[in-house]
Amino acid sequence: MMAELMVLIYRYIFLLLDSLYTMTTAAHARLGYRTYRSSWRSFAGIGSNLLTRAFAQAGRSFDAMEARGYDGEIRFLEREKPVKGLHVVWSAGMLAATALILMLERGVL
Amino acid sequence: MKATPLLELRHVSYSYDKDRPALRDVSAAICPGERIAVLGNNGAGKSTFFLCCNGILRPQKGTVYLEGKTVTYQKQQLLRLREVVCLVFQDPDDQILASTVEAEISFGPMNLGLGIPQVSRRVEEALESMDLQEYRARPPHYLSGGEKKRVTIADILAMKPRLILFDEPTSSLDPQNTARLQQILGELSGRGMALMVATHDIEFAYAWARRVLVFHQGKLLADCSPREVFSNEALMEQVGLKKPILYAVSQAICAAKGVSLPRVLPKTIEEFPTFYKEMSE
Repeated sequence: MMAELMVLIYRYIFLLLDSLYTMTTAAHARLGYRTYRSSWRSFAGIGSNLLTRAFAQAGRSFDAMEARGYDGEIRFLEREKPVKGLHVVWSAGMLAATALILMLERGVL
Repeated sequence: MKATPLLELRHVSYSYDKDRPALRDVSAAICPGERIAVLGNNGAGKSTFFLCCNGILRPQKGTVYLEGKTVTYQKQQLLRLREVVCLVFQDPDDQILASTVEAEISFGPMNLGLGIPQVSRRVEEALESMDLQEYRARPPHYLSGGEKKRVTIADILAMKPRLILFDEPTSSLDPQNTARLQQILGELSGRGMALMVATHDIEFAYAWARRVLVFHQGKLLADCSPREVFSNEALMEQVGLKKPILYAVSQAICAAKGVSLPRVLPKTIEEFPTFYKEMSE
């Protein structure tokens, strides 16, 4: 469940940022950031717009998922990714670092 | 046609809010292998019609039949409907939800409950048909508009439907990608799939479609051949459609020569010189 949410969040963060960027550019193009006051007004407008857009997007995306037979569970084909030596070294290093920090914090060393 | 239609809508109505019906008493039957263009202005009901065809919207009135059987909107039946009738959304960003192209294409087949090897094979085939092999591990947000469109079509191909609905597929594409899409549509009908394309591109509809549905204010005003639609001046006026240039030119030439329109008219610019020569003789 968490993993599915992560997948969706990862995908939609980009859409959200894209909307944010477009709207900010549009506000700049109309001198929305000329003064301190107008900056705040633009910021507020973009914020509320982003919220309504996100809701609309959620509705459309849900329709699109249903159209492809979504039944409450998100399933993708997972590629088997072979573990490389470098991965092992990295995770061992991270683990060791965590252990070290823990020991320092607890005053074991 | 005597064969059982793949999908049939009878007297279907749908409204998002009470005062403004989006679809009014629409009846249409779609047979295997057909090439249908759906014309109409913005808000004419094309998208609502598509959403009803695919079971996303349940009509408030009327019935939908899949291969002759009434759709009752139970879970199993809906799944079956969506396996046979698939919809390519207008905006790829509405449809794409995975973080790699490959995972994205696998979403549909996984939902059909296929085994992993079969899903794998279908993803592979879909990647190949849309020429996307080198993009398989890419995140969709780094693709261009045309590439995203191809991903959304691959999504649907992997489900192996018998009828594909395209909601304004060319609206966000440049001319080159539009030409490519038309080629893809040609290939798909070559494989015997029924295709229904909502579009504002009159020239495309004239060249490609064998049958045209015209929507206006939620009603299905015409369901006939492209030629019948474009020769119906009153209808064109009412709906605000323009004639395809090739059709208008052919008409003008025949009028100048004082002959009636021949049975076969040029549908593409390549066919035009032959027609012109014949007319000049």
